[in-house]
Amino acid sequence: MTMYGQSSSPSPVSDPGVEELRDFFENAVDGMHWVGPDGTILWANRAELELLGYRREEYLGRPIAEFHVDPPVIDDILARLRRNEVLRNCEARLRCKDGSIRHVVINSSVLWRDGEFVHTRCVTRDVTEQKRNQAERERVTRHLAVEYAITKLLADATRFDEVAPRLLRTVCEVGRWDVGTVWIVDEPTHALRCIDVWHTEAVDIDTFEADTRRRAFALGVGLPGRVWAEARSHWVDILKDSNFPRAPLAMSAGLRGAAGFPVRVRERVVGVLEFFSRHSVEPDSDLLRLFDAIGAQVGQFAERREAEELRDRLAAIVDSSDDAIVSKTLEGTITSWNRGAEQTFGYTAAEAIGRHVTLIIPPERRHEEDLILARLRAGEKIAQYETVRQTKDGRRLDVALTVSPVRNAEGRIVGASKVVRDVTERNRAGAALAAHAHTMQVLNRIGAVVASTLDQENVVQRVTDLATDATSAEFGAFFYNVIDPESGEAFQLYALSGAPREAFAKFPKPRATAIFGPTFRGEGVIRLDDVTADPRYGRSAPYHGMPPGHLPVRSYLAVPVKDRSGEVLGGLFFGHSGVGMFTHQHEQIVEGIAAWASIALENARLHADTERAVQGRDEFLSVAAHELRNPLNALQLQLVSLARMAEGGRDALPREWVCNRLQQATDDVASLVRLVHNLLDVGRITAGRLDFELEDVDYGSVVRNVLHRFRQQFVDGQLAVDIARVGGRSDRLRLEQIVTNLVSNAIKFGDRKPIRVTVAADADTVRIVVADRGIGIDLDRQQQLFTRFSRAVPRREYGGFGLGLWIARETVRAMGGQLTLESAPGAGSTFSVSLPRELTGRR
Amino acid sequence: MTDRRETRYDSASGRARSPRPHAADRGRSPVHVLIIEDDAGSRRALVNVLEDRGYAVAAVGTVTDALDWLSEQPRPQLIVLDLMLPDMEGWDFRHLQKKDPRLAAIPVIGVSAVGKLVDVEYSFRKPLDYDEFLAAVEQYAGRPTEGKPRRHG
Repeated sequence: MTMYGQSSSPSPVSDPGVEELRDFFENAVDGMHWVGPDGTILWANRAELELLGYRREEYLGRPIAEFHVDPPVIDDILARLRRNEVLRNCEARLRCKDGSIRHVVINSSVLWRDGEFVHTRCVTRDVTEQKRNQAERERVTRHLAVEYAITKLLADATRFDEVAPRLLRTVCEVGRWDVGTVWIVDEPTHALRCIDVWHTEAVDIDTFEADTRRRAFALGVGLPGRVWAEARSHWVDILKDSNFPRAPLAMSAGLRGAAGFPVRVRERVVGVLEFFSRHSVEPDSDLLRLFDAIGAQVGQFAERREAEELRDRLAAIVDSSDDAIVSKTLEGTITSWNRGAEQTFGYTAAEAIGRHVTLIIPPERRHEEDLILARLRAGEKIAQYETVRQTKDGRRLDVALTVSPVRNAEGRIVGASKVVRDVTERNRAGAALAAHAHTMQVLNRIGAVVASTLDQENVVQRVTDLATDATSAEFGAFFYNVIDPESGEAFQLYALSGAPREAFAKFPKPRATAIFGPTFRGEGVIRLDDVTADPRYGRSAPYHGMPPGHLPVRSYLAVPVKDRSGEVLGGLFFGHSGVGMFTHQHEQIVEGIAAWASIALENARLHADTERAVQGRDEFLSVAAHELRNPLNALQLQLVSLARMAEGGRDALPREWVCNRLQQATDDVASLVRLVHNLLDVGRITAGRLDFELEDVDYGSVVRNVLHRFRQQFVDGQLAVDIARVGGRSDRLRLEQIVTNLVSNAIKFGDRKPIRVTVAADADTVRIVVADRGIGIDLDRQQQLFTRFSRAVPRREYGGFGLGLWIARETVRAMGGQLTLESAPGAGSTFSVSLPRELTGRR
Repeated sequence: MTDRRETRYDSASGRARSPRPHAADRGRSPVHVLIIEDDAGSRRALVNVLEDRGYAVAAVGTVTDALDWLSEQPRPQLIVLDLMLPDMEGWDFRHLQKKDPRLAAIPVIGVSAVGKLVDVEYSFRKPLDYDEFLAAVEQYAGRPTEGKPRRHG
């Protein structure tokens, strides 16, 4: 009342009835206020103030428009009142002191006095609750409509991308959204991609739409990414959101609020639906529920489609499968039979269904079915069980079975589904592959063995053994050609496997007959299932076939062994008494072995060469050391004895005696020098560095000079000569060396019997012969005589014997001539040298 | 036989290319040592060394000659034997020597360029040590009877 008294508003009543009326107004249930012609609030009752939360002094005197949420509404109200309208149930929204908004219905009229606007009389009824309830009802109705619409949409659809635009449109129309987008999780890139955009006519979103369609959101990025990551709905004020990459474009399209929710299939987010509004939107449990419902429906749709597709696909697979797919009851009765089964077994579905599964099980395999059924009843799955089944026409097939139990709705096993794969081809291919692998394995093993073997005999034996083993031959032989490094003579050796040497010892070596020839000529592999049936067999004398007593051979396999240059080193031969024992695979193995053998033989040869070279060097050093010992021994003893005599001499030593001793020592030095020259020559010859200094020579006088030097060593009358003058061109010192070596040899072994030296010539060739009648040399020793340091030669041959002759022979050879020896024990030796008269330089 | 041997070894007398046959060869004094050595230089040097010390020495170049010599001449007190000879090896000589009761007891000093003779009293490797060799000779043949080098006597 105080407030009232303080009020500047006019007091409308002054009589006692007026007091009562004032109280009525003041305590009325509805809010009431008076507004002056200028729009300011003149008076308001308690209900009005309580409704809005203001104190009286905060409300009175203020323009009424300040408290209205919607300025056009109050402007309209005031204008109408000024036009003397009476306002009934005019809806408006007022802002409370706490910021909340009340929905009110206003009834108002103006108090006019003398045609003058005194003030309004306004009754304000709070209808906020009613308003809310109504909106709720509307929303529920709308949501239900959306759900229904979407359910119907999805029920009729077969593909989600087909239905997506209509889904978006429905949600937007009903939910009053302006834009809707659909995002699908793209598994390969693990990103969300927009598959569709829908929008109302009210917005122009061309740029935003284009951007959206191009985008891919990673997990957690942007609104769709967040929905995906967290698998729940999100609400966004685009203006305020910090994780909204498209914000500038969205804002320029006039969009303000956005919401997104997940599409789930079995807890997995497969997509996101996103909606935009021009207004800021608030999280709303109903909308949330709606979104969840839509998300679930879309998810179910997708799941259903998945299941349907799977079923269709399975059906298609079963139908189009090359594998036979058969189902049967636990009793073994066939209940389904696909096309693959028809093709595999030859029975049509009509023929097979209803029959017992033993229809396709060969009699000897019947017991398997009981085993399989027993395992099935136990709930076991049988995977890739390899067995044999039979077709309608009785063919046996290698098959792999996969049998799975079939359960009814209660989970009880009621039958089995069986996938039967024909693996006959696969087995054949597998066998070929395994055979090839075996071949490679054998060859590898052989390679390793022969590679580690350096000794030739060992190589050929091991190659023969391994190859015989690898071909399952009854016996195998390796005939190979050998060239003696010293004599240069070729001969053939052989290794045997699977048969004792005696089994072949009595037969001659295989010759180049019709059967063997191609192999020794390197003309390729010969593989015969029955050699005796071959037209080439039995055509060569004397046996016309296998010699009597030969191991029986029907299956025959022969492979030439060639070196890198294609030269035939030998042949590998395999035999078996059975017919058709050798296969293409055996042939391949043996060819591989032959290649290995060739390499191994080459290695063995190189190794032997090296060994020989090393051995030769060792021998050379040993001989050199030995050869040097004699002249050194002589020289040392001469000098020491001379020194001792000089030291201990009580008398002066006779001059003649001293000279004699010194001459002897000088001779020793000379023989030492000769020896060193010889050794150097051996080195030169060995290294092929024997050079000749050519000059015009008379061979006769060269020989005479040498003999003159030896004159004191001949027994009187021992020497007889027949020396012609033979002009030519040669290395004088080398010639002298050759003759010296031959003459000193004749003196040493000539047993002091006559020695005859002749020099004769024809137009091109000069012939120098030194013949003694001494102890002679037997045939075996003749061969060894020219050997440099062969171990086969007794050591005494080293005594300046082998070395000198060897040097002579090698020098003659290097000059393009020949040194030959004719000798017999006790009958003396004749060394003959033939040389080209005109030597033309280093050969 | 002697002639042949002498002819062979004395042919170089002018320049002392071969050891001269010892005087004992001609019956003037007993021969103490027989040298069997095929290398001319070594043979001559061995002869010199022993003759300088006063030994009576004979030398041959082959086993055959040695056996001939031994069958004709008085038994030597010592044989110096080369291991490697043109016709037979030292072992062969040793074998034959031991089979002959008249020769079996003669001590043998082996001299070799390649190795040592095991089945002998003493064995040397060429080039041999002058003092060691003389010591061994003295041990088995005794001191020379004349005590000083013949040539200087």
